Parts: sequence; structure tokens; C-alpha cells
Amino acid sequence: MDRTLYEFLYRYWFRTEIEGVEHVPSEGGALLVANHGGAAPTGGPMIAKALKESGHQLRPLHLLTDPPLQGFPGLGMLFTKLGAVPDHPDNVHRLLFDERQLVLAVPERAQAAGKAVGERYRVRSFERGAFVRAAVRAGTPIVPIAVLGPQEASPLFGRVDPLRRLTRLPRVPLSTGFPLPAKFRIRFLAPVGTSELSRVATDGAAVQALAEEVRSIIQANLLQMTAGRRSVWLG
Amino acid sequence: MDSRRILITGVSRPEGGRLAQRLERQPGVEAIVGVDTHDPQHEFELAEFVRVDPQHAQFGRILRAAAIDTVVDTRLVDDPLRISLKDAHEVNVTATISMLAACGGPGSRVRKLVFKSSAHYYGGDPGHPAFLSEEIGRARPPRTAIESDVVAAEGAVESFAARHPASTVTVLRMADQVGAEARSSYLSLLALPAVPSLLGFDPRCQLIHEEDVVGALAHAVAHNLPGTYNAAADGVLALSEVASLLGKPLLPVLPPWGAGLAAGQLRRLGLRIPVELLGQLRFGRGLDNRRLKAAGYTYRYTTREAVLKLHAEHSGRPLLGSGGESYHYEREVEEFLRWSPSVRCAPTAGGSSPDPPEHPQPGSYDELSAGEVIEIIASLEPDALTRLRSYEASHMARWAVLEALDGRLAQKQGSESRR
Repeated sequence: MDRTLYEFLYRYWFRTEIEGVEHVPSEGGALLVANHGGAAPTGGPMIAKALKESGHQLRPLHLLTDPPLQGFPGLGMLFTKLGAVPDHPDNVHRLLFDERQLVLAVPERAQAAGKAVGERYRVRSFERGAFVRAAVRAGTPIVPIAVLGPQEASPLFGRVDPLRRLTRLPRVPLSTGFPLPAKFRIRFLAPVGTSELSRVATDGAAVQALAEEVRSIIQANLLQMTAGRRSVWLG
Repeated sequence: MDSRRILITGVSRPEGGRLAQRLERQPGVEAIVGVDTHDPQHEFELAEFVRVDPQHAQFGRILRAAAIDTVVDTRLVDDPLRISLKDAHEVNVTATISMLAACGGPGSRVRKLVFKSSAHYYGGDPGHPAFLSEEIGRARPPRTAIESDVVAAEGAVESFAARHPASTVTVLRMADQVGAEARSSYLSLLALPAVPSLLGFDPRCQLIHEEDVVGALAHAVAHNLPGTYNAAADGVLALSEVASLLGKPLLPVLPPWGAGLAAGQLRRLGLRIPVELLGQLRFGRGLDNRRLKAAGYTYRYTTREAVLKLHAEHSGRPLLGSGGESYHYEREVEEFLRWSPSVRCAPTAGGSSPDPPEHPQPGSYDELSAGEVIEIIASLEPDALTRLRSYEASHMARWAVLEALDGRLAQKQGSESRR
């Protein structure tokens, strides 16, 4: 079921194009960091699908989800079955360090949830840089990913706050029911090493600086990609 | 330090009784005293039984008179199945405090305390990591009576450890127990014709077989393990997987909102689901068991094997009304199993025994299909993989299984050498 849905979305609906998959290390843990993609989480699954399609490796990609969503009926169950993991420092460390897996983080998630259509592809600051800390602790590289498309596919028009209070979800976005057929481009970028930061020294300023570096790499590539495309829908 | 004179509390309960039987056979043990508030169900060779009052007021005198050097406390009640919350509090907190006072009192020779605690210490929380490590502590104060009992009891044990740095204090946080003798709300849910669940949730379950409970306690007696350890079998299953291994449907009878109210209604129908269990049905729980493994303990059963064993035990029972009835100690059978020279592999051995069996359960292993075996492989440790490799090669030699085993072994060795 998900396989056919993903296959359809990936190939025919979003007509995903990828570049630079070779930047994802074929063994050992790695933390992939992407920009946030629109109201519905289409970016993450498409990145996972892209890795699978490229035949680059057979390792699964673990998406990180908001822990509060785990307590919501249906969603938690669905996420677990899709191989997603609640975003908790211990979970990330276990996956990266002990199990040497690939993990996808979307660090702007919390604030970007409120990002309206007009502000798309302006990457918000990666506040606190928790993901950098996780990567440094596990000694794994960070692979920045620029994703173009998800924000047009499920644009955010507004939020329904009363509903949010009622359901206790972190957000109830107002968007299109099914993602629109925007053209997806996923660009994997050269890994940023974390080895220069020692495992013990996770001092705030250095972490912040590295987080900002990753953010600016993604931002620069997004700008370049948006400038290069002629149409949102056709690419 | 060697444990020679051992006192076991809660000896009339299955874990305590089995532990006493296990320790009796260990060389170097001079005396075993078992205490409890009611008569034991098990037969003992060496161990002596003393009936005590619920507050364990005479505890100090027994300790001094028998010159006890090791106390194994297995009393903790983590399930309100057959005990009221008020009585549970008395057992868990009041009696624990007076017992600790006796252990640290004048004239006491106690140098080692092994405290059986419960994974209810952590409670259920959507903010928990997938595998709880021992240091994680509690993010928020306990919300249910049993949880706060467990937290208070552990707090008392912790301060005892701080006041007596010369003694070895081990706290073992046990996952949910399964087995023929164990009785709990969790097991009575699994014993129903359909497993009730919470609509929209498929929690992760991690169990521990009662033999591993006894094994872990005995390991802590035989070795010095100061600190807190999680005890839970390898591997985590979703509740739906547990139900399908048991051959039962999953029945989402509880609504996601107002589950507490619905549980209250079910209670009128005779199905009791405690609050702690509701949390578990919602969020699930996984324990990081690597610290106990690093301390030298080898689990005999994985979660999956424990469930399969439970299934084998269930299938011989009547469909309804099996949840509450107590285990009958069949004397002749037990004596035969314990002492007869014709018994090849003692049923209570395993765990810390020096030569573990060829494979935990060859009988049920042979029934697994290649696909099922491959699924298990990911959760095994290198030495278990090697053993499984030789077993498979000599028995069925399915190439797909052998290939998966070789791949996993190579991967494990690779990651070991990198570390």
C-alpha cells in the first residue's frame, strides 16, 4: 500500500529528480539534514524513496518525528510502521552511534510549521542546533539536503488554532487535502565533517556556528535551485 | 565478596521460591532464609521459611540471628491484580523502609542488597526515547499510585546505598514478566480470547521470561553489580505482533480519548485494566538492557521466544477463566525435574549457567520459516549468531538463512573492529 503510493508520488506526481546521492556515505552512521517541506510531510518520505531508488544502499532512512505526535491515535502507529522515530537525543544517538544508521532531521520543523506560502524556501535559523550536538556526540558527518517542491506541493495557508487546542496536536495546518503535483528536486550536498569538534566539547558557540553553516549551505542551494527553475509545476 | 548466608523476601511468590531453589544448588551457600507473609508454594531442601507480619517488624532480629550477609528483596508489587492499592503501598514503601532500616541497623552483617524493582519506575510518556536507559530518571513526577510506590521504594534503596558505601546495592528494574507461574494484569489481558487494545495505538512490548527474572537476580547475588540495571529480554514487539504470535485477534475496545472511563466500565464486566497498563497500551515501553548484558548476564529468552513459550502454555488451558487461578505446585513433577538423574537439562538452569544450550529452543526454532528466522537475526548478539549459524548448518541448512547470518556476522565484526 505505502509502496504503491510512494512509487506513484515519487515517479509520476512529483517527478522527483535527484542529484549528488554519492554524498550520502554508504556505511556508518550519518545525519541527513533537510529544509522543512510544507504543511504535509512529503519531503522526508521522498528523500527516503530517493535513496532507495538510487540503489545507493539498502539501508533504511529513519525520519525523526515530533514526540507529541507519537501520543496521537493513529499517527504514532503509522510513524512507527514507516520506520520513523520520535526526536529524542537518546534515540538519535542510538541510531547514529550504536546502530550506525542514517537519520533524517528537519531542524527548522518547530518554527517552520508556521511558515506561510509567501515565505517558502527561506530557511529559518536552526535554533539550539540539537542535531549538531547529536552528530558530534556520535562522531558522524552531517549531510545537508536541499529539497525543492514540498512547499508548493502542500502550501500552508493558515492554521486552525481552536482545532489545535481541541486535539492537542502541535499544529493543525490549513492546506490542500492531497499534495499538489509540484516538481520535486532533491539535492544531496557534500558532507560537513564534525570531527574537528571533539566529542566532549559541545560548547554552545561552536555548535551554533556549525548549525548556521549547515543552514547557509542549504539556503544558498535553495536560492540557486529556485532561480534555475522556470515553473513550479514543470521544473 | 561471597554471598554465603542469604535471606530472600517474598519467597512465597513464584520468583522468590524459584530463586531460593536456584541458590540452594549454588556451591558455597551456607544458609538460605526465606521470609513472606504466607506459606510458600515451593519445596526447599536447604532453605528455611519464616512467616513474618506484613510490616516485616521482626526482620532485624532474623538478620542478626542468622548472620545474614546478603538480602534479596523480591517483594515489590508492581501490579494491583490481587492486592488493593493501600496494601500495595504498605508492601512497597512502608515495609521496604523498615527492611532497609533493619539491614543498616546495629548488629547487621548485611553487605549486599539486591532489590527487585519494576520498569513502572519510568511510567508512560510520549517524550520517552525508544529504549530507556538507567540514567534517564523521571521527567515528571509519578502520576499513578503504583508508579509513585516504585519511585519511593527506589528512593529509599538509593539513600540506603548512599549511607552504606561499603555494601553492594543492586537495583534490577524488571520489564513485564511472562511465564507459566507469573500472574499479572498484563498476562491476564494476553490470556483473553482477544487481546484488548487502545484504538489507534500499537504499542511496543518488551517482556522478560520468569526464568530470566530469577536468573538475573541469581546473577546479582553471585557477582558484584553495584547500581541500577534494567532487566528485559532482547527485542521489542508491537502488541499486534504479540497477539498474532499468540494466535489471537487484537480488539481495539478502548477509545483513544476517555480510556480511563472505558476501563472503568470494563471493570464492571470483570476485566480489570490498571492505570499503568493503560499508559503502556498507549505509549509502549522499551528498556535498554545492555548494561546488564555488559555485566555478564546472558538472557535465555528473547521477547519473541518468551511470547512463543507463553503461547505453548496457553494452548493447554481452557479459554476463559484462566487469568486469575493460581499456579499449582505439582510436587512429584517438580521433584523429578529438579533431582532425577534422567533429566538432561535442568529446567531452572540457563541464564548464568556456564554452558548455555545449543540454541534456546530448538523445538520451536525448527518450526520457524526462513523469513521469520531472518527477522530475528537482527536482534542477536555475535556469539548467539555463531551458535545459530552452526545449528542451522547442521540441521536444515537453508541457504537464505545462512546467507543472512553470514551478512549479519560480518556486519557485527566490522562494527566491533571500528569501535
